[in-house]
Order: sequence, then C-alpha cells, then structure tokens
Amino acid sequence: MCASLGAPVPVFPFSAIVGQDGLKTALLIAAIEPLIGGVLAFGDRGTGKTTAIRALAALLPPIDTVADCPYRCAPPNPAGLCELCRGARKTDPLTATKEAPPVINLPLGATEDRVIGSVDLERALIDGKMTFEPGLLAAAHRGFLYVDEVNLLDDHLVDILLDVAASGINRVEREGLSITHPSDFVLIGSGNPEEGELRPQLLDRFGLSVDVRTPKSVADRVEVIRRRDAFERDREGFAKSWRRKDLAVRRKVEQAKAALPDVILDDETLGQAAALCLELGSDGLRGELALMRAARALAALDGKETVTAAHLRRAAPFALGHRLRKDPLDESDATSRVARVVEEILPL
Amino acid sequence: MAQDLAPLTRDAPAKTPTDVSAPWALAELAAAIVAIAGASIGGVRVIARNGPVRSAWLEELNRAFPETPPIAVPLSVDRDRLVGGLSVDATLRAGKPVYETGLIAAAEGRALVLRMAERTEDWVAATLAARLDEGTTAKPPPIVILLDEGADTDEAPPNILLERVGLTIDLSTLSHRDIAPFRWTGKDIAAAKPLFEDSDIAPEWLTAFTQAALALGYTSLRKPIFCAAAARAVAAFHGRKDVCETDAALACQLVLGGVPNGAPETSNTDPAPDVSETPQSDGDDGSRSDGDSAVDDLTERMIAAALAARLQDAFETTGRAAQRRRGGISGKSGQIMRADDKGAPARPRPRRARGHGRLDLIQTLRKAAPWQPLRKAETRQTGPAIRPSDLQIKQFKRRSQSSVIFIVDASGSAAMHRLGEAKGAVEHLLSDCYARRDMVSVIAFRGEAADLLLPPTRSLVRVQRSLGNLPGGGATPLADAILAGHRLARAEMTRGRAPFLVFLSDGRGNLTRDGKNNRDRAKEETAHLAKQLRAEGWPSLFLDTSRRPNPAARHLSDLLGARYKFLPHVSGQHVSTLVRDEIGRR
Repeated sequence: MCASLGAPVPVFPFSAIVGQDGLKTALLIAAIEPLIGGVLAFGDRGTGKTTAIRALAALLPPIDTVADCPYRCAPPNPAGLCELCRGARKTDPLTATKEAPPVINLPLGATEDRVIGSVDLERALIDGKMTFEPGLLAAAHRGFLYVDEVNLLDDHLVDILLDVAASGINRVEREGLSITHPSDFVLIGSGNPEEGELRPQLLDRFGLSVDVRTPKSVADRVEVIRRRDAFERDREGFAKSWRRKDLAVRRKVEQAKAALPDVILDDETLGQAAALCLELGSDGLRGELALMRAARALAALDGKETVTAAHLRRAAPFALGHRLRKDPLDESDATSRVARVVEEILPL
Repeated sequence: MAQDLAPLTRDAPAKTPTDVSAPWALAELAAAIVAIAGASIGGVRVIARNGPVRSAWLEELNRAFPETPPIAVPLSVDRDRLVGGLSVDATLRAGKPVYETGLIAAAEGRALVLRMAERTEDWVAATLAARLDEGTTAKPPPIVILLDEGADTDEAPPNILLERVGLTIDLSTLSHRDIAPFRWTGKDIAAAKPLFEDSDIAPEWLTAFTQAALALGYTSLRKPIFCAAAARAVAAFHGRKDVCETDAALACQLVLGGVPNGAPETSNTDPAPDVSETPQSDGDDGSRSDGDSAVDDLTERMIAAALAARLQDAFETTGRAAQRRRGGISGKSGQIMRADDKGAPARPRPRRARGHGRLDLIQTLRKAAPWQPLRKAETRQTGPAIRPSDLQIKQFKRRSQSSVIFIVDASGSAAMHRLGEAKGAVEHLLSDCYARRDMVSVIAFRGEAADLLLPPTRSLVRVQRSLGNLPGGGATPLADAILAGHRLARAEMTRGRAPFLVFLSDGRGNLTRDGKNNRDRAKEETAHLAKQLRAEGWPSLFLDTSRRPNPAARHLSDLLGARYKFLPHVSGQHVSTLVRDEIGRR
C-alpha cells in the first residue's frame, strides 16, 4: 500500500483518459481548492476511477518533504513538524526532498489498526518499548485517500474518517499510546449506489459528487480499450507521448492555485448561489460553501478573475447533486432535479 | 496435437447445449489460456462442487505451472499470512524478528487458489484486488483461481474479484466419467507464449467484443479487454498470431458466458448504445460505412457464442435448485457475531495454536509480567520474555445487521393494495436513518409461484427500480412463499445478518407446490412448511390483511410461531413502525 516502490512505474496519463470529463473536472477542482472537502464518485465498476486518481496524483507538482519522515512533514514550517523531525532538527539540519503526492487506498475490510495506526509490534516484543506505527491516515497526509466502495464501509471506520477529515488531525488513544499527528488529505470515495446508500453525515462531508459511467458510444469504448492495450505493451513510450498534454494540465492547475485567492465572488453571484441552494432544498450550509468554492475554482481554472453565472451553472451538479433532501415519491434522479432548478434560477 | 482441440471449428456445427462433453473441453482450453496469458487474463472462476471433477481439473492445471505449483489461500487466512509481516511465533522462538512474505507476494506470477470462494471475506477480496490492479511487468501479480462452490447465483464470490477474473468455467454438470487427461503439455504452452506476447488484435474484434459485452449486460470495460486477451491466447495456442473467428467465439464463451455479476442490468435506464452507430469522422473512416454491416454480423455471432454457454446453464439450474434443500443451519448465529477485529471490545481470550486475530498486547504483557524475573534468569533475552501461552487475542462483539424479508400476498383482488403497502413500508424503513443498517427484501407470491421481487438491499434506488411496476392477481401459492422466505433467511444468515420475516397475507393459500389448485392439499403443505420455520426459530411477524380478523390467518401465524397483528387498511408507515418495534424487542 505504500506509495514508493523504488523507481516510479509510469502511471496511465491523465490526458489519455477517454471522456470522464465530469470526474476529471471534479478532481481538478479538489486539487486546486483542498478546502472543498473531497469527491464522491458514484458509478459502475470498470469506469476508470482509480486510474483517474492515480493519474492526477502523478500529474501534480511534487511536494517538498523531509526525507525519511513517516509523516511527510513539510520542511519550511517548524511549527508543523512531527516529534521525530523536531528531535532530529536539534542535531542536524533536515534534508528536504521532493516526492509525488501520495495516493493511498483504504481497502474494504480495513481494520482500525491499519487505518489509524497502532503499537509497533516488533519494537514492543523485541525491545519492550511501546512505539507508534503509523497507519493509512498518516500515509495519506498531504495527498489523496481513496476509499473504494465507501457505501459498504464499516460504521466505526466511517466515524474515524469523519473525525480526521474534519479536523485534519489524527488523535490516537489506544493500547497505552497517546499520539497526535497531522492528517490532511483529499478524500475520494467511490461506490455503486445500487449496493447501498451512505449515511447522510458522510454524504454531506464530501464536497463534490459526480456520476461516473462508461462511455455511451461504442467508438469511445473501443478507444478506451485500445489506449489501455497500448499502455500495457509499452508504458514508458505511451506515457511519453502524452507528457506534453499532462504538463499543460499541470501548468493550468498551478496557475489556478496561484490565482485562486484573488478570484472575486460578488454579491449578486452570492445571491444566486443562495437562491439555487434554497430552491433545491439542500440541507445545511455546506452545500452553499461547496458551491461557492467549486465555482471559484472553476473560474480560476478558466483564468478568469470573477465568478460568473456560467461557473455556478457548471459547479451546481457537482456541489449539490448529493445533498438533495430525499423524496421517496420523486422518481426523477438527482442530476435532472439539479438541472431543472438551475434552468429556473440561472437561465442561459 | 494442439490442432484438434477446438470444440468449435468454422466448418463443424457448434455443439448443442445438451452436449455434455463441451464443458470439459472448454475447461481444458481455459487452463491453457491461463498458462499462456497469465496475468493479462486475471484468472479463472471455476464453478464446481468439491469432488473428483474439480480435483482432476486442478491436477491437470498443474501442468501449466510445472516449476511453480499453485498456492492455496485458506478461508481462515489471517492478515499477516496473506499480506506478510512479522511472524509472531517464529519471532518468539528465534528471539529476533522473523518476517514472512505473505501468500500474495509469494504467488508472484503463480496461480493463487481460493477455495470456497463464495465465502471469501471482503478484506481478502479487496486486498487481492488492489494487488491485481497494481500489477507491473517487473512484479507480475498472481493469477487468481476462484473455486466457487456456491449453490446458486445468490452465493457468489465478491464482485470486486469477479470483476478482475477474466474466464468462467462450469464443471458442476460433469461427472467423473467426463474427465479426460488434458491433451496439451507444457511444451505446447512454451511454444504459444512468444506468439501471444507478439500478437496484435484487429480493431474489428475489439469493436465486436465491446458491442457484444454491452449487449449481454456487462457495463464494465474490463470484459472486452479480457475477451481480446483470451482470443489472442487461443490463437497462439493454435500456433497463430492472427485471431480468427473461432478463437474469438471461444473467447466470448469463456469470458461473457456467465451471468453478469453485481446489480441487475441497468440497461433499461441507460439507452443501450446504438449497435450500428458509425463513429465520428476523425479522418480515417472512409471504409467504415461498408465495414459496419460486417461488424454487426460479427457481433451477433459473438453474442450467440457467449449465449451457448448460458443456455446450457439454464438447463442445469433447474436440476441444481432441487439440491438446495439442506437440513439444519450451520454457521454463525445471527444476533451477536464474534468477528475477530470489528466492533466494540469484549473480554480477551487465550490464543489457540492456530489462532488468528489481533493480539491484545496489554493483556498479553500483563499475563507475562509475573514470570519475567524467572524467565530472565533462565535466558539472557532483552525485552519481555513472552511464551506462546501468554498470548491473548482481542475479542470483539458486533451487532449484526437485521435483514427484513417481506413476504407479500400478491394474489387476488387486494393484491395491488397489499403490494403498495409493502412498497411504502420498505421505503419508510430505508429512509429512516437508523434503519440504514438493515437490509430489506421483498418476496411476492401469486399465480404459479413466489418471486423474489427485491433482493436484499439497503438502497432506495434499487427499491424504486425493482418495485416500480407491481403485477398482481392470480392464485395463491402460499406454501411456495414460505419456502422462498425460508431460503432467503438461510442465505442472509450465512452472510452474517439476522433475518426477520414479515408476512402480509390473509392466510388462505389455494395452490399446491406443484401448481395444482387443491385447497386442502395446499393447506397441508403450508402447515408443514410453517411448522418447520417455527422449529428453526426464525423471528417473524404476521400481518393479517383480510377485511375482518381471519381464523385461517391466525392459525397460520401460530404455526409459524409469528407475532400476529390484524391490519386491514393501514399505511406503509404504520407497517414500518411495527417492524421497527418488533426488531427492537428482540
């Protein structure tokens, strides 16, 4: 499960993914604006969700980390360093290194120990010392945590994820250990809604949601298979042929991140956003926050300085699709409900 | 010679579905494909009972892996053994860390066999799937052999694995008389491998596979990819680099021949892509319009090949259904489940020799503490001296989910009303936040037999889809309904859920189990089945939907050992509240 296995193996390039514009856009928004709080990808199997996430992580600019730190501390910030780094810093200056943002998979049936970390059994048995062995939440820090089949996740794990995702800190109190470490990640969940619904609390935690389907046209489907086949035969060559396009996407992401703080969201647009949320009956205020943040990220991606109604229109399905109050008598699905209301409030 | 192995040739007629030897020939070919294609094909799902046929196949499979025999993953495997890690026993004995590589790592490029694959635990499946996804050419992932002993489509290996295993073969209809030694050897495989690695596949085949998979209800794009790999392997097996139609047909049979796993086809909401759709012009489609009709024919032939296997299945399922009746229930009891690492902690217990489960470190050290001075004097070990007898395993208690099974009388004139109530109750049960933990299913009975209208689910989406159109009317096969309910309850039990049966009926059955309209005989059968249900102790609720309290209903309810309630005209919400109360009471 760990991110680095020696020489990096080329990953399927982000730009080579056929279709899936919704998923790609949602991931880019989450990468530009981490505050948005994660992406929920609803859809069938074999739609390339894992591929897209790994592709994005490989495409993003590498992050500065302290070499050999299991918590992936960021060197310039002395306050944010973990105990190990703080201790090491006293004797030698810390060596900085660059690595790709990690993508960690939280597998179905993961135990609490594996997720939050536990006592290092080896040290305990051999040396008799109680030390902490970091788990998946530590490994995902400053990267992405991918939870497959999130709707089948055990309830107590859901509680843990909610806690840590909200606070950005993992507090471990068990087996005689008392540890805290930073755990800041973009949460990405995937699931098949046919197999069960998520609890509303968890649903709300995800900033954006997107429906992922395999392409409808046969030609597109064949293209997916052809590209996959080409990739399998010659990973290096294939990755190389798409590198320019991927670099272009990376530049856009970097520029968008830099421009984001200055993007203007004027009062009129704010009013429209609020009206949208009210009309759709989305519960709570998280919907509006997500909508605003997503709209701003889209504007930044477009290179614009102000958020317009067009950005709101594009952001609405992502931000609000999963927050609609359940109406068992309403047969229409979320996407059409959102589309209907967007038409009313923000006519083209 | 490899040449005469193809059961289907372009000239010879395809074998009819009732030809029994075809499954063994297919199985023989599947083994060869696995040997040639390796990880590109993911693996094989072998549907068969434990017996001479399956053992023979497995033994013959060994020819494909002469130097590296397959590795078996037991059902009770624990995390360290599967994924690798510190081996506690070995470490304690040696006095320094001893690591084991774990079964998955050891099976690099080898066959990994999962027995009773339909009972594979979720975490094992997920871990294996993650490894299969990672696969690189430098470190090839294992080739997964799923030995599926499930009795029916309800009991199948986890979807996450089925999705990643390319081939499916069915040996369940064969007897020991049908076994024959494989006609190929390691040499044939060795000759075929370089051809496979070098071969390409023409775009018409990709299109045909894609369309065929879609038409047969497989939405995942992995299926056509597996078809392509299988077709190339078959071609290589016959000494060719180019795929011909026989190769493709066989590939379709092996990859697309089963029933699509997961939820029933969603193709009624998504319009299926137009099979004759011409691709958008992107420069090279000059000859496309001519080629299109050829592609469609091809697709149809691929679909026919895949269906040949399904037709065979259909003949056999009726036979298998008769085998499903087994006496008694073995396995976990519903209410409190002893799962080894989930849920709230209970008291730890001493570890047995072959124990698996998370070590309770604190308790272990506490148990070992008083012996330290004595043990330290004997050996010169640093750190706590722990003997295996000190080891304590954590125990957890987990409340298992309830699984509410509605058994609804959809016969006669009041059918629509009752079904409407049932649907309402189901929706309310699912909308209720707390109830999201429970599974709900609906069996309706009318006309000839009982139907599973809604398989166990927590999903409102699924409810709306399955219970959207509810047919009603006809005779009342009550006995059949009880039997269906019983069967589902048993299935839910083996999945670790606590079933709870809710009957909505007026208690008057008039059809016997073999469909004859004989009221007395029907009553007898119903009574017999009801008593069986009661003897096995299934919690049930009987809602009498007759206009006035009905003695037949009352009587049936008593036989079932159910709680009786008279409920002529009430809302789904009321039903849902009643069910909630009953579950809470237990």
